[in-house]
Amino acid sequence: MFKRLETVSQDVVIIVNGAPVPARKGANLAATLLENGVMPFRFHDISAQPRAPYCMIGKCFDCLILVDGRSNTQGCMTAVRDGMRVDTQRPCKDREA
Amino acid sequence: MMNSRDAAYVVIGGGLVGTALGYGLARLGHSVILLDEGDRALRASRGNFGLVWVQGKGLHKPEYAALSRRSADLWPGFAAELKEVTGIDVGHERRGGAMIASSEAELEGFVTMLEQIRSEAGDTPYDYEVLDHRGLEKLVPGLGPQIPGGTFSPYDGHVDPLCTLRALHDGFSVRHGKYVPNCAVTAIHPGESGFRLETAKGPVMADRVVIAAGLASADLAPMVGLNAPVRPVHGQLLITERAPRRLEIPTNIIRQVQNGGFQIGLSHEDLGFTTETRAALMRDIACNAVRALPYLGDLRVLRTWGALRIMTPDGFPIYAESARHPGVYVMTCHSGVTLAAAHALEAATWIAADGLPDEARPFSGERFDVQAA
Repeated sequence: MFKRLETVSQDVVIIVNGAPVPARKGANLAATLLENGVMPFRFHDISAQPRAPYCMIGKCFDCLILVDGRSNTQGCMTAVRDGMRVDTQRPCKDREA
Repeated sequence: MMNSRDAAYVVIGGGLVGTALGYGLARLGHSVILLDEGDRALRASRGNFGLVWVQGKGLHKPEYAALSRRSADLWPGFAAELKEVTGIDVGHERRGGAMIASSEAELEGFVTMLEQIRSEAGDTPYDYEVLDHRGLEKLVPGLGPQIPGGTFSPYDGHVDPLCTLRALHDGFSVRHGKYVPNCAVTAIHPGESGFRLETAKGPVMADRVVIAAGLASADLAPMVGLNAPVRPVHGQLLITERAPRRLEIPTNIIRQVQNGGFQIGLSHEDLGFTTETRAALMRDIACNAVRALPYLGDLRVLRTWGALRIMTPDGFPIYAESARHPGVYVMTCHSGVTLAAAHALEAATWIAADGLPDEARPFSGERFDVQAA
């Protein structure tokens, strides 16, 4: 769905739902995930509906995702770090306490 | 409006107390108009904690302890009724509740208080358990190491207070009550047959009037020979992001709401008529909560808000009918959530029976008529 206009060097690897994904250090995490076809980011805590980024500027809180085990992390406000573990977030009743 | 008689009953106040009484009266088949203020009203009902609580209530006032208990006992059936009538699940749970003591001295205070309430309860059972750290930790897993213990009561529970307010409003309408928002009452005139109310939307006529206007009751009650000296007590609350279920029972300072967020509270301040929030207070409340449940430290706080609780001079409800103008009542209290079931199912029948019964007498506003020396 999303395609880069120009190629950038990919200097790190992040782990998305257990699989290695090449990425650029410091890049926008939500953009990186969209580029790699990660969809959805999470399932809503109450409705269990699939959700994905909408505003990409930190306002809509729809890009929430698990980052290194930390729930409800805003993907669009997070920079890529080497070795970062990113997982699709299940509704809270299905998550481990 | 402007009819010779608009309704048998006018209830002033669209919060938890007014809607519960309005619902109860409409449920009995009476015609009821509910006059409410607007969205900017100092509405305690939109800012409360959501406990249906018995533990510790009614020290030196066994009638209040008994009323709280009766309402808590009525709540399961009342919640089921609201679900049936409105389709709204108010999320009522009753698995008991715990008071978390922050120090040995506080724990001692809890125990002294509960012992006293039990001794004043006479033959009525008043169960509670005193728990050391280990005992409390079984009920409240993840308890902070500095917490010495607490107490547990099987009578306590909790509910979603916003869903409850919504369900009471919907239920009132389903039962043919008429709700009028943005309709503050400025005067109540007793007439030869019934009462004439001056409101923001013109005059309203009713046979009987119920003042259930929270803090505004203090101004309205004296218009008809009643006394309701309520004052605002500010409380600030926090709610965290949603998290997996971890806290199975509500406590005096923290409860996990149905959707997974942790609601944190328990501040009491005299700030006047403001619902402002303060960062320093938020920090103190959060620190206190993390000391009780360290795992909360990993959660994000989503919102904080201030609310004004209604406080009578002794903390107990005021239920009274005017002696000078029979047919007008004042009904106000601190615990609109806990008492909602009793208000709807019991207190509404008191009002409908014309004249409050003996069991309501201990709650008359006359107890404040004599000035403190």
